[in-house]
Amino acid sequence: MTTTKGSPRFLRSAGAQRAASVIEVSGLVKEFGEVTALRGLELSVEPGQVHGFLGPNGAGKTTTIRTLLGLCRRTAGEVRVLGLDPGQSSAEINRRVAYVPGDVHLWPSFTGSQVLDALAGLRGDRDEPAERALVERFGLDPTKRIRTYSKGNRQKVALVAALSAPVEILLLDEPTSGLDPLMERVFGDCVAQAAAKGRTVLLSSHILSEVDHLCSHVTIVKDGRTVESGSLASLRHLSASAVTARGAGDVIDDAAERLGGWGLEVTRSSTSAGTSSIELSVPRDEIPRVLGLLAHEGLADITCATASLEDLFLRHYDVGAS
Amino acid sequence: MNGTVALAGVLARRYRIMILSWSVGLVALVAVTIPSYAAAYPSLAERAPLVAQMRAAVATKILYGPLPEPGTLGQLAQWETGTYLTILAAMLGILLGSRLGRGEEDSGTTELVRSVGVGRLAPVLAALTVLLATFVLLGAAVGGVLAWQSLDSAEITAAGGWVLGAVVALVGLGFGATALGLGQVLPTRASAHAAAWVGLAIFFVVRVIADFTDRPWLRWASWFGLRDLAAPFTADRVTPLLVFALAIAVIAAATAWLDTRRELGAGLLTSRPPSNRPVRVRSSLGLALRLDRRGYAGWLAATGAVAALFGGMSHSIIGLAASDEQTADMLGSMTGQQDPVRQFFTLSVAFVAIIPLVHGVGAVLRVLSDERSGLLDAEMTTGLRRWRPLAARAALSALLTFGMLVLGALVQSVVATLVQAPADAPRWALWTVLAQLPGMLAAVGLTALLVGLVPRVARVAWLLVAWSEFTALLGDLVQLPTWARHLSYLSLELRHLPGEVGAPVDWGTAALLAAVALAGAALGLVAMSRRDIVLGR
Repeated sequence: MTTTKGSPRFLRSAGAQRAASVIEVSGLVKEFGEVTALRGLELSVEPGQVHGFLGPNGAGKTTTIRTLLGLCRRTAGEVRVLGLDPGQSSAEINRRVAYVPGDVHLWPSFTGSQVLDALAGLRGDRDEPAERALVERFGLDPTKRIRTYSKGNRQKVALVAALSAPVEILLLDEPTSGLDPLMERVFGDCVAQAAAKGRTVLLSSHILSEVDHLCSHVTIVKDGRTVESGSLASLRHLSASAVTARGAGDVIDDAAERLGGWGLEVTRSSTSAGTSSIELSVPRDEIPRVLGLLAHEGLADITCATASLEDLFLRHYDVGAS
Repeated sequence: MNGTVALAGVLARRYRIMILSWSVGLVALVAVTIPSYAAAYPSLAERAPLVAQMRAAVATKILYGPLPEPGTLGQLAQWETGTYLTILAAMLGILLGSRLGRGEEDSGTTELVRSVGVGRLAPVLAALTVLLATFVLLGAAVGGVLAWQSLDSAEITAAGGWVLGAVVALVGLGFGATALGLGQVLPTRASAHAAAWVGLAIFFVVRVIADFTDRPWLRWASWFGLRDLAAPFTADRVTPLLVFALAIAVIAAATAWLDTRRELGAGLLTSRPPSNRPVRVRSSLGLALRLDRRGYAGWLAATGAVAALFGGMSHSIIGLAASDEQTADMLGSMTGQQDPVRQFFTLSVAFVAIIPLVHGVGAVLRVLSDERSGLLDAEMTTGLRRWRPLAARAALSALLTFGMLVLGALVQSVVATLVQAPADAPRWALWTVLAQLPGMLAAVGLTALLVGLVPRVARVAWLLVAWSEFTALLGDLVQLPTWARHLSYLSLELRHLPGEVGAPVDWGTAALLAAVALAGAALGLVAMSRRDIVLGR
């Protein structure tokens, strides 16, 4: 890579790249012998996005990321990273991408700082001031041998190497799985700063609050397929909202019966004060009609909340569980 | 204690291929030894000159220890093959002890196993159980084969066979328990492993000192002294076996006791602080060099030591082959050579060149373990071409293998000169070893091909090494067809070298092996670029 330290190439050409996706995956199929890990997965990440990549265990997130890096070869479909095919140009892509795996393995006889030396040396580009700052922020003692590090500390070494690397894209595969809550916060700040500098981040995570907090867009995958994708705001908007209301028992019964007649699933419960409440999930188009009915019936404490990321995600978990 | 048996079963299953392949090789070695002696030297009288010479020769005494009189088939077998058996059993013990103990801890398995509620001592007791079962079965197989052969020969006894089997079992178990025990004390698996190998060298030297300084009591201080104390086929003493078995019990008990006094994944001793000197690498080659360089001295030293031993033996054995018809016939049947000098150095190649060969194959296979553990991911995702890590390991492996071969050739030649072997011996000592270079490169290239093309079965490369050693040692003796003998990394023997030294190379075979090396490496690198990088299998 021929960039000046601390000023990655993409920053200079950011305007020219804005229009195209930096990661474009279409109909991706990956088979390992008789096992099919990915079954036509779709993924599109725009420049500068912090894109959450969610899915239950075994959904194909890691396989997708390793395919983006050229570590796995696709069986079918189209994959482009920075406009390049990882099957043909993995080295070029990897010079412009930094990766943190979920399970970090590094050379056990090296110390933390020697690993950072080696990774930067192999990459051929290094931003030492950024590296030192990150070592400090993550509270990493780089003088110890890797074999003596905990999982969290190995993760910190990989994070320091990736976040300090002068690259355009960060591919982070459950990067905070070994970090304590304080370090998770530091990580969140670092990702936000990377995004502010124009870097693109693909963040695979199981920590929904983290994704909710950091990501503007999400893709949810299940069984090797994409089941949801888009901006968090639009997904929430399009998704069903949670509606609750409270009132006298007979009024609640009447409302529940009519709502059930519209095909909605209503949950009833009684409160200690002798009143009852209902709770139901309402598709976006039905909300005016449902709220109108509840108001007409004279129910109190009517609430209507858009779906949380957890709701979006658990819906796919629930389907899996059933 | 809770869970020990179940855990031992899991460990035995995990390492069954390693244990079985070593054991089958060792038992096969025992099985072919006595028939080959019996064919070469049918009677004691015919064997007398050999026995006299071997008892007088310094170098053979260093390697094998004293040859008992009168030199029955059993005595010869326990003297020569018994030496190989005990050294190989010791090596297996070290490898197993190291893997079953700190190896399992480093991989995280022990922590997981403890968490399911097994007893505090279960992991170390299970490791000891697997070691015990492995070497008891190996010893029984060795003893059983010899006892069976005793039915056909009056010169070997079943009792001697069982005593030799017990010696092999106790030496292997002793080194295994020692390796496991060192893992309790030393800070890392690597340091414990290295200490166990140093221990092997020290125990060997102690045995040599015991033989040469007329201090037979020193044999009690070395695992390698046990064979001569028990004297299979001569005195068949049981007391030394019991004493060494007691020593193993003490080591095992100490190992279990120490295990309760240390942290998981650490030894009682702590590491010295790491140097933290900057690592200046710019390529896969630099990284591989930086990671492997510590081991280079050990490989070179081992090659030099073995070459020195064989250079040292050359004078007496060549002299014997020149004067004793039976010895000449036996060496002739093993090597396909008529001239005693060529006979000896054709044979010595199987010992001097095997170490570079093992290094060459092992170094390339390390790419595979790096891949499985995720280290290759870390390296490749810095923007390296996918073939570079394999290319770097193959190139370094070829380079060091070449260096080891040159060192072995030079040392063997210089020592042969010093011990006043026949005039042309030093030159043959040099050329026979150097002639293996194309074969070594072919081994590196072919292993690279296996790693690139068929990683799941790439460890079959070790079978090719074992086959090469078998053909080099016994190919002529068991009258393998020519084509089978040539399917070997060590096939450039003197039979292919027409004329005298100076025009020694069969260029056709050399070119074929070099082509295998280049084509194998090239195809392996291409395949590496086109296949998945696989984790954790």
